[in-house]
Amino acid sequence: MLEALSNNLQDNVGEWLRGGPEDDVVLSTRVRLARNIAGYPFLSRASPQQIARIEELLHEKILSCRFRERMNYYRLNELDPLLRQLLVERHLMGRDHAEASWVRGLAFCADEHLSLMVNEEDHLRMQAVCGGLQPRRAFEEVCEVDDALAEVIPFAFSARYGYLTACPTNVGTGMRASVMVHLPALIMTREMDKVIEMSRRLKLALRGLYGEGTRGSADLYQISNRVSLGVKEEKILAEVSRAAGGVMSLERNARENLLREDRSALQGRIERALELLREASMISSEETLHLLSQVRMGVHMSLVKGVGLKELNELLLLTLPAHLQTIEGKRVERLKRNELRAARLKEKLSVD
Amino acid sequence: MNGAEELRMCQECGEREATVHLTILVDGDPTQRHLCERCYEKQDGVPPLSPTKILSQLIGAIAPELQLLSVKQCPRCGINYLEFRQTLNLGCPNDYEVFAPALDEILGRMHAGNRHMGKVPRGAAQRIALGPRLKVLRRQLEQAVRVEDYEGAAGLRDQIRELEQDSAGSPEQ
Repeated sequence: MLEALSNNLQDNVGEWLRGGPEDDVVLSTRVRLARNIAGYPFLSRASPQQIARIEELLHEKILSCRFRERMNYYRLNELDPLLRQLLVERHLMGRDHAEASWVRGLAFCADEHLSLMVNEEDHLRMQAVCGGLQPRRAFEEVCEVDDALAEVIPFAFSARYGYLTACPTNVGTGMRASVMVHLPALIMTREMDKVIEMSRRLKLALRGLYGEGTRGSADLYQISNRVSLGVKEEKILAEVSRAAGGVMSLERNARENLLREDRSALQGRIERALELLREASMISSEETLHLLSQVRMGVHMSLVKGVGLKELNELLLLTLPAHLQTIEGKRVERLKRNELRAARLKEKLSVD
Repeated sequence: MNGAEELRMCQECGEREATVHLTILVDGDPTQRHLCERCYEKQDGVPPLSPTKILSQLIGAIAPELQLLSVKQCPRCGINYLEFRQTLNLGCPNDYEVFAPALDEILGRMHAGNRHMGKVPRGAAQRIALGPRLKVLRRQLEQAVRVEDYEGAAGLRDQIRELEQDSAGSPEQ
């Protein structure tokens, strides 16, 4: 299947870029559940033998379980580093999990909306991703996997504290619900402090997508719950939805204000971004993300013609380093990658 | 303020305030020495002024029960309370039981409350893992009812009820 994945990269963007309700601002919704196996120490205190045993056990159960979708399982230690990076770029796992040194695994289904990490910070972390704002659906999808596995794996659970996790910040529901939001206008109008203030008020965490606490390149941010104990899952979903709603109206307002203040300046700015993407002979990943972000907003505001959202979403992914190299079929050094990237952009964005 | 509480200077350098107060034996007689931290550490063979130790003594002075907790250790994974407090990472599921009194407080501050309100695992694996211990408890319950030990029976019933939705302590096979 990995071969199939590498061969079909160009037609397959993964669930988080596939679009859905409110996707002018909310790209995707993700719900993740953390679980551990009763009777085993958490990873930081487990011996290499115990870690291997946990991986073996979960590996076997995940493959033998009858999920609605078929899962494919990979031992990450056995995968090529480039392939691991590709899976990180596709949001199937975090960078830390890809680069860790101990025995660990990753399972996901063909359309990539479900993925399971074995021996990450907890023994098992499962997540469901849905395009646009769909917290309820993402939760139901991941619960199905959780319930199926609870039939064959005794999870560490206490009546008092719920699902027991390696770090007490995740205990209780073990749940992290998050929305990925695209906020170019709020950044242009320097109003991000409103989003920061709102997240703080709702006790939610806000972070840039690429790098902790930094300005997200591509103007992408993630908003997620901090609290996992003393609340029901439904309440967490409701609060994250509420925050998403708040951010949506802030961003939409900022976009309208930009239009009202100086429509032609905004249009000019977006057209220049598109031109740079089409005409560059070499371009970095970061600049690409930044320019694509501007054009994406332009498409949603009907300021750009002749470019589709589908192409833009594909390019957000296909111009990332591991994707470029996988499509090329070999490792390519950075400067050469910048040329490849420019060629790919030209090809996809050219006006026929 | 009387004289004894006035700033005492270091007996070694006479320049800095004495913050380390030692009682040492000189020819069998206890003698007081007052030093600043720098002069104290220049001496041979003295134990270091470990922050953990100082902290531990400080905690001990204000709340003896906290000091007891600070040496509390999980028999399963070996982590002690201070290690947990420093990293906020736990060693095994059993730690949630071992450190429960302190966790109630920490979790209450960290989260919306300190009791679970969400989903419960209802899978077969949970029941199987708890099977043997439940069987023993149920037998004891029957026995208690037979001999009309109603107080004992009530306690056992609570234990069974709690265990039925709890798998933190089920042992490794």
